[in-house]
Amino acid sequence: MVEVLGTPWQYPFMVRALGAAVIAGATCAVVGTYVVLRGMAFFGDALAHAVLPGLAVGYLVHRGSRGPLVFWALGTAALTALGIGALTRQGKLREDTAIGIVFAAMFALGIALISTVRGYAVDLTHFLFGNVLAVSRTDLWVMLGMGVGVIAAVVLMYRAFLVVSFDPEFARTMRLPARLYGNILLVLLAVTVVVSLRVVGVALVLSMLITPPATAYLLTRRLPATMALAAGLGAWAGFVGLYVSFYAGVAAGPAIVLVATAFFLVVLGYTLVRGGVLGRARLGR
Amino acid sequence: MRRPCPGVPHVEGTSAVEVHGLRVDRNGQPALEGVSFTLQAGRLLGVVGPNGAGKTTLLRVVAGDLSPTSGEVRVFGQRPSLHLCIGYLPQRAEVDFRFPLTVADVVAMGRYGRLGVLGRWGGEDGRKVQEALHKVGLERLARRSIAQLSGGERQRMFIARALAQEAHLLLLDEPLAGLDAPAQVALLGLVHELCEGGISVVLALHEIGLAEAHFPSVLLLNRRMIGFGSPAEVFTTEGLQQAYGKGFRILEGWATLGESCCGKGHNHG
Repeated sequence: MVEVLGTPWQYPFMVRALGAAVIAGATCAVVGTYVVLRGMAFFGDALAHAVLPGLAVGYLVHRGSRGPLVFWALGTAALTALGIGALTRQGKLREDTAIGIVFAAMFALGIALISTVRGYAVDLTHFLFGNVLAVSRTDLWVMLGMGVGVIAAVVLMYRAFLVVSFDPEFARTMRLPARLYGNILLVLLAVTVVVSLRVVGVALVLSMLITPPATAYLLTRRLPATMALAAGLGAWAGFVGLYVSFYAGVAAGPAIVLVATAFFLVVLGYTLVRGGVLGRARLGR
Repeated sequence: MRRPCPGVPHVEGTSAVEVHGLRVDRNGQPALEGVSFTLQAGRLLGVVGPNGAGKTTLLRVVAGDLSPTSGEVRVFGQRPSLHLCIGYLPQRAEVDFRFPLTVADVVAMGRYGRLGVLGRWGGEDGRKVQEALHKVGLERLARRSIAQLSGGERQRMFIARALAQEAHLLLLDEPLAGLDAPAQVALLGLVHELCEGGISVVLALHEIGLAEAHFPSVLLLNRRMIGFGSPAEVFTTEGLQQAYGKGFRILEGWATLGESCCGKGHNHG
């Protein structure tokens, strides 16, 4: 048993992958709690997909060197987040329509750009579904810096984000700059998406954002507890997912997502069976 | 004694609310015009009118959430948007009651204006939250999830948040809508207590009977001000027909509906 548990960590690439998965899992879950509570799941998914053209341009410009890609992705994500925000405030189109237009167009642009390179299929697969086993030490430090920064910002601005998300009208009578904090939250979401790209890829980031917080939500009554439990579940899903990947020989990103989903289903079953105070109050509505 | 508003110093000797010749246009059309009234500190005003009469518009202007097209609005002698002591309860709060928060968590938000984003939560903040919960009779529900509250309890929670905010002026938009008669009377009892404690209250409602029975002064609206004064002065057949149309008739005994059920001391959910 000890051997089974210890074997994967004899390989340095597995240790780095573990670090990356834990950082991404925890960061996604903390920011993702707001994604779940504010009903921004579609926005989060769109943002993740819209990063692809940034990755593509970085890939074309830097040929083979993976380091700078993170910053291309970050720039694209931040621009897209604020762009969709501005587009939806126009009020002519429904928010999901505006998001859908930007999302699909950016994704198509990304694939079009990458497809100009001969033999692009493998790299495209890595962008879409992650390539956590190839994370370098430098990648890991960049991810750690961004992850810690995002979590610190969410903790520091807890009151502002809470009030702006829960009761925007009250935030206005408190004279809080609601739009500013809304935009800060979007930028944090963009950074989070970029942090997790190497782990689960563009197509699966959404799961890291919403599945652990949704699981934690079923078990907790107060926001700080929801966030803390979500972060724990996200990190744990990364850890367990890597084992599954190692022993079952499946791709790491999807393995992590499936483990997170399994946690969710177990907890959902538990709350349904128990049907206690929490279960009734939450699921009955 | 109430502590000063942290947003802007109040001008000595001014009324809680002063509105002169207010006009508000929405989408190029006047939504509200010709509104002038004064509300003294510690008094209660009922704003009455049919749906779409501009009651919400008026409250939002006084809250500083909407700018007047013309006319003047002063709260304690200052522009409304400078104040941090106005407690505004919208009619349909844009609030998701599935948020993982307890009643005490929501009431604690009342302190955020004074604390700012980074200020440290102190003992006094905790005491103000407790006092506010006590005042509205929600102490025992402090740790309950907001998802489990009844309509009346939700209104009380938001009033408690305004008390924790140390509001000097409360603006309540149709807080009685959707409550059963006993809960309405209990909530009005609470509002009267708050006024006795020195808080000024503007409350929008559409039940003329309740306004007549419980409010010392009323303002009758239908896109423009029809009357302002005591209910006897304002709720004349002519005034009510201007507000509600020619078909309106005053029914004898209507005003006493719900009154006889219970006194002010009862706390209905």
